[in-house]
Amino acid sequence: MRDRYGEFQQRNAEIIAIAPDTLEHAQAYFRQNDIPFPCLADPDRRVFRVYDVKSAMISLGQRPGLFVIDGAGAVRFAYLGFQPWEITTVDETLKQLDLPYRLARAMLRMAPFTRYPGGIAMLVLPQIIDMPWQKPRIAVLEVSGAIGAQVRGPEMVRTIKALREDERVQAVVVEIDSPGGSASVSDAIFRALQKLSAKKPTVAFIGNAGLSGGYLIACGAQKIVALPTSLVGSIGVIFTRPVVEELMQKVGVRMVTTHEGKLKAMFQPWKEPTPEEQAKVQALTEEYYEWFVNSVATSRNLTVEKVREIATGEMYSAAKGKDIGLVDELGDFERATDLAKELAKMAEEPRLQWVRPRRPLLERLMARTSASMAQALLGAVEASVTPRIDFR
Amino acid sequence: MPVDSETVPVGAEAPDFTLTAIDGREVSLSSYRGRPVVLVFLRGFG
Repeated sequence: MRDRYGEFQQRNAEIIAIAPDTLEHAQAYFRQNDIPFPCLADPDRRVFRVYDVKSAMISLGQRPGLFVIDGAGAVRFAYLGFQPWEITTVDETLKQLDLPYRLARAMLRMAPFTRYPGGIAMLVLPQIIDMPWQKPRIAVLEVSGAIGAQVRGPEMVRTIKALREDERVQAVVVEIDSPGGSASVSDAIFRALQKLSAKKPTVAFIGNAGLSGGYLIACGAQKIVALPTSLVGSIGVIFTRPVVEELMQKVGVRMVTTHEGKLKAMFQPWKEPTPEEQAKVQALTEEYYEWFVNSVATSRNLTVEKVREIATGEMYSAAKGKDIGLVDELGDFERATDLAKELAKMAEEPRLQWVRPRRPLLERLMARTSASMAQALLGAVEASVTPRIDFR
Repeated sequence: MPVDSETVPVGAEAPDFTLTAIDGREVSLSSYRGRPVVLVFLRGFG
């Protein structure tokens, strides 16, 4: 203990020795042995008695005693040997000193899950038994609403990546209810899911609508389970933009645009597209369509021809979707989690953990209603004014 | 087998005391509040 005093000091801990002897004897011993920590003399063994260290059962000297007392004055660890040679090691003592700090760190890690009542007994538990927050689980990720507006790309991609890396998550069920939306956001989520599927079993569950971009996202999972009455498909690309040329003429507004680049003005809402511009947009739309068809074909294990046949932009009932290969199984949400459990080869009944991407700060600060109203308004404005390519 | 202290079990507040240190100071356990203390009961110097 003398030679490793530094390790105690590092922990801001003090060692106090109590000698059952006179001050003179203790002084002589400590000085002779150059012991750095304080020693208190207790010639009449008053403190020994208080701490139950002095035992009548041992005739030969004192029994060994060591207590670890925390900063709040509570005893964290007590060691009393029956025989003089039963002493605790320095390593054990240091471990005991570290214990509260280790537990504090463990508490911080589990803080997002739950708060536990205080008390030492509760705090020691994580080291002894397998606690619920460490148990394997199936994560359930909700993809609900218009893609791009309600289902945000970057947040979704980050969440999916986190699920991929979380060792406790053994399988993921993606619960989809979406009419589609932004092509690029659908694409980003689809790719993130593909990467997740390469590492862990994934099941998409379509409970109401998995259409267009929403269906593409479902294709990122290994299996698709859908309620028989839900809608799937609508594989196609739509390019919309308002043209307000006539309106502008009616109210007598003339827009003057200055642009460099022959087709730079092709998306301006106040003029009819020229045949050349229309052809360009058509080509762009076709390119996206081909990519969509190919993605579905590859992930559903269908031929490109077959998918092109299906991909008329029409929606199918899930029952029909199963016949044509868009859906693997008809069933409810429970069937989807059971399938995930089977694929992950989980022995016991899995815990389900619902996962939701973190919303942006502004939205979390604002009340639910005002935020979603603002969001809806913004979405509507954006949808009607800016030209976009959508899978919907 | 080592045993628990009957008078000072784990979780209890450590009883305070004041003793004279070898450098002559009067030292109380309570003066160390705020930092951990390892209390070592020596077996004597014999």
